[in-house]
Amino acid sequence: MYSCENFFARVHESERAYAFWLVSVPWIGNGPIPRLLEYYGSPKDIYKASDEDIEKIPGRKVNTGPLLKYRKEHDIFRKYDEFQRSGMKLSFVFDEDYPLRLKNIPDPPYGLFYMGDLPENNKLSVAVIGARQCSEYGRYIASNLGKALGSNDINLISGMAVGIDGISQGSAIASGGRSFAVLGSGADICYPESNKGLYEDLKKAGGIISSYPPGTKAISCFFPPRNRIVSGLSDAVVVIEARTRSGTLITVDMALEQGRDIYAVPGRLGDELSAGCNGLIGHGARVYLDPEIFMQDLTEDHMDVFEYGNGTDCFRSGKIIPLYDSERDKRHRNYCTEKKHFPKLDQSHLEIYSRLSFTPKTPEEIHIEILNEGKDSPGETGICLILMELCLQEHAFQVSPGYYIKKSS
Amino acid sequence: MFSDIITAALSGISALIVHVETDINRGLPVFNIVGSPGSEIRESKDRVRAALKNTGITIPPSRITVNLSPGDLKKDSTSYDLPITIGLLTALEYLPPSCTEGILFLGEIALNGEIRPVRGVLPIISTAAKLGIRECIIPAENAAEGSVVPGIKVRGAADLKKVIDYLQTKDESILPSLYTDPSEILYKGNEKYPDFSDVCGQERAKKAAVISAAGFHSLLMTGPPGAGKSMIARRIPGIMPPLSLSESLELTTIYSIAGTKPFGKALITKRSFQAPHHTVSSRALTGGGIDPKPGIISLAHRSVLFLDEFTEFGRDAIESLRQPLEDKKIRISRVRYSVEYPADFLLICAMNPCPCGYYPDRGKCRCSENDIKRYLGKISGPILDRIDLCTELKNISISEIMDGGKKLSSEEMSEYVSRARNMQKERYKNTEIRFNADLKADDIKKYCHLGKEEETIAEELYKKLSLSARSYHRILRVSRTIADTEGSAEIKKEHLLEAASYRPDLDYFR
Repeated sequence: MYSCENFFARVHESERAYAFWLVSVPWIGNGPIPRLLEYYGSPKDIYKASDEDIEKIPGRKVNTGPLLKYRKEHDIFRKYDEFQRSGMKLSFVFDEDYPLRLKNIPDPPYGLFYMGDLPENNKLSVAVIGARQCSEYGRYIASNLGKALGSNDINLISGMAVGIDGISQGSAIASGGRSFAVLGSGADICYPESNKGLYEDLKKAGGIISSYPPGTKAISCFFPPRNRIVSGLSDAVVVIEARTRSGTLITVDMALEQGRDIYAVPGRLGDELSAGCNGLIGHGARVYLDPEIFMQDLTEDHMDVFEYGNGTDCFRSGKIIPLYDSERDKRHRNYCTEKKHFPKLDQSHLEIYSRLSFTPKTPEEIHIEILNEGKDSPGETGICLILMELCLQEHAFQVSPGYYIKKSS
Repeated sequence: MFSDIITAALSGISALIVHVETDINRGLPVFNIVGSPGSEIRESKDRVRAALKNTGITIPPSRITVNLSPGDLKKDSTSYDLPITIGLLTALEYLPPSCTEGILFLGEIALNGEIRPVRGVLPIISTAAKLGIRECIIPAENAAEGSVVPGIKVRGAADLKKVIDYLQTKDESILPSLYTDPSEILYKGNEKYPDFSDVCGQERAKKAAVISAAGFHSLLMTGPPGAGKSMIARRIPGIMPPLSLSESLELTTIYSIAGTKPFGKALITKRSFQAPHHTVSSRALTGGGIDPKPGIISLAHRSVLFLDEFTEFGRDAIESLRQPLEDKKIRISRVRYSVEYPADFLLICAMNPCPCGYYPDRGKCRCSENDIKRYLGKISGPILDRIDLCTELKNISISEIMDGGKKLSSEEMSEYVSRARNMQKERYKNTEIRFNADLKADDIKKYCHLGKEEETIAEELYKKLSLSARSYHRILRVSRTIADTEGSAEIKKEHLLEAASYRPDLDYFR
């Protein structure tokens, strides 16, 4: 192992251009930087070293080709000057504003390009991740959680992808909160393009963060390192919907490596989109039950965030979360036994309302369901009328023509 | 010698009288046809010559000039064969000029002298009757179609020999004049349509079909492949009221011009079901061509135009439906002509909810949000604006297929439809409006009156469902029809709610 002293060593203001050079080379990744710094001491020394010298670093071969090529082809001072005027910001691992949580993960990115802000160290932050092709259920949970986090001043970190990511971030911002997106492309490139509106909003209420230099196009192999930053920036990770083999689960692996708490949203057995989440619970992930309970648990576990404002996770601060916590146990127990209050509805409406769920249903399905139970059905048209009334009372919602889900207040 | 015979040319859905003038002169033996003849007519002289020879008449070598007047009207049809032949025979003094006077001739001639059917007989004969022509001789196979026109003697001739014999002797028994009372054909009422009782389940889609047929509201059905969308569409013409006489005559005229009517049948008595494939061109839909012919939308006049796989249709084809949907007719303007065909059709569309067809069942549907957005984006907004009803179909369960119980049949459904149609007829007695679907914003205020309670519901609907003014009006129109199917003079709360549940709202992701 190499020592990381040089990696975290402050670089003088006048030498920042050299550090910029190290992080702005396309395709370089985070790999060679720590080793080069260990060997040479500072970015400036690396820059001053000759090509032959760099290639002769002892030990495993370091892929420095792109670095040297970039050095030869570009005037890095001019490049740095241009960058400074572009409006995008750059934070190095030795800077004051570099997120402490991220600094503490194994192998943090040397530089972070960002627009807007970086997540504050003295605020809780939660990563919300999940499938791109989510179901109505996931859509509902994501927006509910986003709303809760947003209105409780907890930063929401995600990847701005379509599906769960974008939905949760959008609703966090809509409820007045702050959210940060870590992209698999340069921070100046909106990927996916369909989230352009969200991208602009995030710049104002949060930030767009990327470890890739501006102008980098999104490529699939850039996403796993991006996911590492998503979990690295947060105190806990909530997985909303995931198939058994998915990018979301890769993020979970990385989060575990970084010592983050994993919360999984349970789903029905046999539901493909929930199989990943249910599997995580099987492996010991925490169960996400409700935004309120989640936030209480989270706040208790990470009190030190407010105390020290240093964002060190409990893993490093030495605090140990007890496996059994009577308070928490009680809370969860209450959740299960708490009588869910049904909205005040008359019998016929309640009959239909109780059959709705987050899986979209058609009036026809409900009709057959009632018939199969041997009860009298008001007929498809009758059910439809009741559903429309429920929609008006905001107890139900039509997701696509003829498909209804429950809408919880 | 000189002769003048009457025939006619089609122009849109009516006809123009054309005079065939023949002159025979001494000189080099030539046969000239002038007066803007198309290639079909220029070929006519060879058919005429051969047919006359095979009937036993030889044309003496002389200079023959045939003029089709008016000369500036472009003429493309084989129906000039018979008038040219008769004109020639009269000019040759084989027939006395008096015997052809006031008779309109129409027909294509085969080389052996047989007379073959032509298209557009009904519009030509009715125009002729209006212009005071009292007798016509047409191909025998077209005789049934022509025979429904009152006030004109229609004689169907199978071959040239018979025509000549008749003209020489004026013996009615050779070519008897025909007349059929169109209402008799029409009200036999034994048209066979596929029946709705074949459709298992899908109660709501059937209800939507009733509303659609009752108020002439365009309908969009979404659902996975195999759910029965086409099956339902195919059954809609069967629940519309039987064709009225004027509708039937209109349709027969269109079919006659298009040449798609089976010869030998007097009238079109069945509402048609036009289901063009999604590769159809806009010209095929609207009609046109060098020799103007009605397109598919005119063939679907007063009946159903079904567009399956709605999203797959070409942009051009779909956009071309906009004007006819608004005006109920199509005007085709080309350099050489400008014609107008009626096109008052009921638009029924079907599509899958997403590219794979299973959305919102995310267990099966793996389409990304983007895929679905792109898919829905293919639907033209202006056309979607003109669709009043939208219903979803789901694949039915085996128990529904096995269920031998009573299913809503076409007969019961058409009762609802005719009740609603009668109410509309009564309500819009002295107006231009025919169906609820024709109601414009200001008409809605007049005819869709809401009570106190209903007004609050309508207001809530507007707010909670974030409707636009246009979709709000759409809901009112549809609720008017739903009330009509139930024979209710007032629009009630449940009518409004039901109408709202059928609103076309394809914006899945908000």
